[in-house]
Amino acid sequence: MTTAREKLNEDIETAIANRQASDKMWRAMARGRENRMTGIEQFQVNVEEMKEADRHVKVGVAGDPALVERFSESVRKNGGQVYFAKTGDDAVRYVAELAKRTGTNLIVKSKSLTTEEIEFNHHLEKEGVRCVETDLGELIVQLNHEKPVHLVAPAAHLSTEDIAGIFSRELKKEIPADPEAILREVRPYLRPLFLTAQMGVTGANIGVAETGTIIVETNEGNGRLVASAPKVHVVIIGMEKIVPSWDDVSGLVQAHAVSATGQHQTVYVSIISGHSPLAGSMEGREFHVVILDNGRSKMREDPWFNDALNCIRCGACMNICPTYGIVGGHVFGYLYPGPIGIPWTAGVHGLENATFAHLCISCGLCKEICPVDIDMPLMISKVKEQEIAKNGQPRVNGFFTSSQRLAKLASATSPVSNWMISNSASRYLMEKTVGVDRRRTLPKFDRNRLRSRLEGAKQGSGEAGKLVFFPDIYADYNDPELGYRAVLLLRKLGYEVIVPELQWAGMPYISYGEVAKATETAVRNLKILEPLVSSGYGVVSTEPTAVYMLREIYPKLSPGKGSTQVAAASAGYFATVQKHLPKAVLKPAFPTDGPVGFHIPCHERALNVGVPAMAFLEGAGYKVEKVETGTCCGMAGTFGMKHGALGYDLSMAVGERLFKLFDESGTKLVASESSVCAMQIGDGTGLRVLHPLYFVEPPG
Amino acid sequence: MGESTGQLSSSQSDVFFMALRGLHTEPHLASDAKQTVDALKEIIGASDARSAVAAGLPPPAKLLVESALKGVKHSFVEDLKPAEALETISKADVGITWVQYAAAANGALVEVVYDDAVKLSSCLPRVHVALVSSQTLLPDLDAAIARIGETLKSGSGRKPVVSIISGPSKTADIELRLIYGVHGPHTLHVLLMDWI
Repeated sequence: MTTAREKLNEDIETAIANRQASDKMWRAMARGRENRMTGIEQFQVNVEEMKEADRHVKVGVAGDPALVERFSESVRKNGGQVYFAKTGDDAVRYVAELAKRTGTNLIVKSKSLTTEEIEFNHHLEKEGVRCVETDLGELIVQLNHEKPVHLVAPAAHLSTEDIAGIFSRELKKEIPADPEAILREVRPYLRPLFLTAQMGVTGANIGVAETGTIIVETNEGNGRLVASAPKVHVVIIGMEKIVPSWDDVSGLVQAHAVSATGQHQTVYVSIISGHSPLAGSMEGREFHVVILDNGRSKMREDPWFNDALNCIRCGACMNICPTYGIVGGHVFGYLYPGPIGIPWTAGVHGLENATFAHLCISCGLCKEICPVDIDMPLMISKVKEQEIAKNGQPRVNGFFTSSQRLAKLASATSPVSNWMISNSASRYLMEKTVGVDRRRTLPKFDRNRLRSRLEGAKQGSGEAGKLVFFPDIYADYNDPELGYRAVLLLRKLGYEVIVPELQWAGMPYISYGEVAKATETAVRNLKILEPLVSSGYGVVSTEPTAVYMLREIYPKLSPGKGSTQVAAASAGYFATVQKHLPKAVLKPAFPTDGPVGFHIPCHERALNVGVPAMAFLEGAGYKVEKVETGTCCGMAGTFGMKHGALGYDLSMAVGERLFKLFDESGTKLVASESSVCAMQIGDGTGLRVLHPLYFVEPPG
Repeated sequence: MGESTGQLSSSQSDVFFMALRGLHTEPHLASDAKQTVDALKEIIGASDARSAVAAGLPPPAKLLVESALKGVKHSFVEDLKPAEALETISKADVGITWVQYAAAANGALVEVVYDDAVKLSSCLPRVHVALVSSQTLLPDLDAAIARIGETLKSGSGRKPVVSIISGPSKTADIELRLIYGVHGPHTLHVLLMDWI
């Protein structure tokens, strides 16, 4: 029997091979990101303020049983009936019985991920009740017997031709592949269904406890029709959607729309506190609210996963996820797709359905774009940890989580280790035995590590302050020259800089679900850093991922005053240098006539508002051209070094889109702060990629 | 602030119109009864409408709409019997409804109804004409939602169904291309009356 992991690998291979499909997905996701950005600019949304406001509304509240009780009371007071469903089966049974009692044989539905979660249609149809999706995207995937590929754009994977084909089949007539023409057929197809259905089922974007109100947002207006034309209106709402007060509504309504599609507000926001009469008659008109638990209470009690309940289902995380953009939500998802789909699947559908967690490459962009600032990568790491506990750690992941030990060994045994890295026979062996892809250029190792290289180098005055330099692996074992130049420049700018013996930052532990080891590493580093920070040291690193770990991850792995202080004292290398740029004399090391291509590493995005390394290069007289797809380069640390679909192949599929942009940019020289992004771009474009520090003459 | 109330409200209607245009919505301004009737006639004429429904109109507006609909088959939803309501509204080409207030900066209309037949009059026809009094313009969505909250929190008895409407029915579900008029109106006209 094929294991879930083997199946995942096969699905990824198939997805990568289907170039047309992944191009379509990739374009759709890029469009989603653009729409969001346009909305943010047009409506002058302060994203950080929005995140804070959303967290203020949701955190601690989502799924609170006392709140569920208050909401239920309010709905009953308004005349509605409330049913609390512990499981999906309970919810389905309630509605099936209601359908029987009310003589319902046709249900029209507006889009609801919550009903997808409990496979509502499937169960009701078994009871002889026809369910028709009325959101166009949902209808398309329903007629095509598929699951939604995306939370917001369920049919994003299908072309106009595909969709015309689906409706031609359903309506038994030839429909041209033109969106307007398709719509001309869909409207009259659905209209009689709206008018004759005895029951309408909607989800809810928000439930308000104070007023017993539910809010349904749709652009098509199908939500309004479903909620008002049929006699019986059933709302199926996840318990986490309930907020305490009416004051919480406006912010969420706007956050949904701008994050999902870049709109100021969704076209139709329906605010429903019960069923109304139709032309004066209340005959047969009923209003039911089914509040669904289905694993949410358990998620709420789990400190690792309760933040997932704060999700507002905008889909932004899937728009920016690099691997999702290639394989799509059928591979990167169970019933809930995308990054947020991983903790949700583990929570409501069980760990055995969440194997797709391994598609997460920990680039962190989902957290960055999330309007509620949910730390998905860390949660996903925890899901991986649980999956690994059951099915074991793949050998190649184990190899990379020992990177520090290996680096020590390789640097001590260089040049032999370097010969092995560049020798095709030994690379073949490495691929076969540990799973390191032989096509990937690996960094060389240096015997002379950073600390020994710095012996005897002049210390800075300390006038500008005191700094700890955190080399991580690359600037210590692979390219100590980089670390050396970095320290010297800081000293020249007036910093006293020390390099204590530290552990690596440990990102691969997060990437490969070794949360316990990541924590152990964090604790060991913090033990050294905390007293230094207390005595006035700041922390800098040339590796954006290391700073990301210190700032974003360590405080969560080892919560407390110490880690918070270290996080606050940690900064990117060029953010620190930038403060002194006017007095730094930067002599360019290359001709400055042509443009320098610039790539921003994902983890760097989380650290700064601007791009300090670009300012550094411009300060040295270069014309700098930012080249970006809007998502990750695909390397993701050591992910792109692994052999196979879930590694090099997927990494290059993601990277290809960026390589093409570099080719088109006409730049000959590329700068990137991340050592691994540099490998990816170098391998993919053949261009020379260097750390920005190498673009200036070494500090004398 | 320095500005007189009159100037403030005229600049707010400018903001409102700009937002509406950005939402694929057609704004019209009427400064007296005659202009209101003319604007309605023009919209109905341009919509090639053979039938219309009107709903939720306060008495003076109802008279104007009636006069504008002369020669066009029409009904006032309040007069419909429960059994015929859905069918009649669904068959109408144009739905004319009253909007209680609007959020200027967002181009959002707030429809407050106590009967679903009124709501369906802005949902089902392919053209929706919303009548708004400029007196009821609020600055933005925050203000409009706060006002909705007051309504929901006050009083006893059945609560209204409130719809915030920002443009015609649209979808991007086919290759992310925007198309209008999926289920509801493909055209939304907003007739702002600064004389009521």
